[in-house]
Amino acid sequence: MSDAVMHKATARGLFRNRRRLVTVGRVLFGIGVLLIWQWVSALTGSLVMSPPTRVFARIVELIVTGGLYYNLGVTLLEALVGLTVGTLLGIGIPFLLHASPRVTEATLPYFRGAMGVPKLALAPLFMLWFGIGLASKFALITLIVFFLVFEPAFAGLHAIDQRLVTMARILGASHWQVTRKIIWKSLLPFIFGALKSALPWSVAAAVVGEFISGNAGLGFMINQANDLMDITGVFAGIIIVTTLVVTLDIALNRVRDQALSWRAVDSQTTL
Amino acid sequence: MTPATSEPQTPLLAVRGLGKQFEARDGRKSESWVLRDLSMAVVDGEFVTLVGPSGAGKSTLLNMIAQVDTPSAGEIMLRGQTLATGEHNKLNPGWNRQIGYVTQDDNLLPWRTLIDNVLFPFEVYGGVDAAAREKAEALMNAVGLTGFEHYHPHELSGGMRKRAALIRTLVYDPPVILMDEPFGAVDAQTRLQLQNDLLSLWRLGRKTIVFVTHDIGEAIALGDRVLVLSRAPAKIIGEHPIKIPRPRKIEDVFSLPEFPTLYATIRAQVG
Ligand SMILES: Nc1ncnc2c1ncn2[C@@H]1O[C@H](COP(=O)(O)OP(=O)(O)O)[C@@H](O)[C@H]1O
Ligand SMILES: [Mg+2]
Repeated sequence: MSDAVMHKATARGLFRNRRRLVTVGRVLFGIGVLLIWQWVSALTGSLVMSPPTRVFARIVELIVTGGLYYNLGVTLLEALVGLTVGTLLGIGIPFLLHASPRVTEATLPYFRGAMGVPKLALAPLFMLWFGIGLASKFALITLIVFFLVFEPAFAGLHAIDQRLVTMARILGASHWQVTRKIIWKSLLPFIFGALKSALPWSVAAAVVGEFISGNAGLGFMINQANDLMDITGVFAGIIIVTTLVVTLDIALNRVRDQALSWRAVDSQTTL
Repeated sequence: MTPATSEPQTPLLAVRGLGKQFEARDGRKSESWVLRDLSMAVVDGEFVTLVGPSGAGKSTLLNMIAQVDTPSAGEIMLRGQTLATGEHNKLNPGWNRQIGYVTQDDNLLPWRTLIDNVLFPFEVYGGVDAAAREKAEALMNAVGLTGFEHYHPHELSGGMRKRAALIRTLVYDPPVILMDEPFGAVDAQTRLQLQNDLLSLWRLGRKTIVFVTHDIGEAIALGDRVLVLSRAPAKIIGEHPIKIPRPRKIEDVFSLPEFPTLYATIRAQVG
């Protein structure tokens, strides 16, 4: 026993040191990027590239005046609704297909083919069909997320260790219990893997949708600034969107680390 | 050799004329039989060991008895009731917890702690109450796993995982327990310990056990009766009652005067 515990303890100690170094490195790198940005914008002039000082002043202004919140809320709502519905479908449909190999064989080529469709290029069509409001954004994001989740979920269902399923059945588990306690648990790493890319995509798709047509949201805000040749506004919008994505990603990591805490090395290999 | 069905007592578990062909890749039955015309019977409370060369079909036989795989011919009966035949074989793994199966791999659920793995049979059937916990803890204590309740399988040695897998089956008291080379992949010292653990646990519970191994010494030391399986197509080609009194200590069995002859006889049959 002490062996395993010791090993864990030293690993944790090393990890703490390493982490401190990484943090210092990150801060230095960030400062470097800001300095270069400031310098380049001084060279090009603020009509082409706005300096970080001005961009951050604008962000502070948007926060203080409250002009940010409505647009942020709209984009967040679109992304989260699309993400939720797309993920549910992306998991649910592989589950249904899994129950019937014949249906799978018949339909899989179509799912695979549809994956090749450039989804963002469908955005104008969706505006035409569902209007410029929330509905068209929901549809677009749901579709994109669905295809990002479908393949990993499908692969995950096929990768499930059948011996664990059989063992659970022998121990008296019903089909429903097997689904919840074995299949779902085995699938979780795949689903979190899929969400890792689906989450930034959901925000990006929301922004692009708003960009193309819309009357609210961060994409709309950026587009408006662009129309007014307000480069500082464009930069501010991009920084805000990036911050939103990073924040959501950190939240996702938290949830994942909680759900998959049993895994050996996870928290050390990813952010 | 006379088949084991000539036992005077009515058998708890009986196998008659069992045969198995695996389907070839193209979906048709392959020509060769892995098992052919295999008959055996086990009476209540008996510890039967089955030896046979690697690849003989030992695991295949246990899979069919455990209702994890379907026979191609013959019949499997428990207390006179037919579980499966070559014609009628809808799988019901474990036959409503009447047949426990300790497989060659431990098949512990990696996302569960050791205690939650051991409690799994209660969780899916009947519920985890104080009595269940008490029983699980007593068994964990009996095999030296106390203190490791909250470890995950990947944090433990192979021997410890084997023990956990063993008591996960013992804990819910199935009347028949099948064991497929459960101590195959552990070092000699741990193996001896596990064998002795198994014997003392069995003395307390007196379950009916069918224990498969390719280790002749193990088969003699553990069993009331050793059955010898031929190379494929496998059938029972030898039966050896073991008169060594119980309680036994494994290491003492090997130095008994009758051991070498017994070993040599079986060795010659296994081929
Ligand atoms: N699912 C399967 N499909 C085809 N052949 C199999 C399958 N499982 C086992 N076999 C074959 O059956 C024979 C017996 O296998 P097995 O029962 O695992 O032997 P043992 O447990 O005695 O080592 C082997 O030749 C193996 O290749
Ligand atoms: Mg085997």
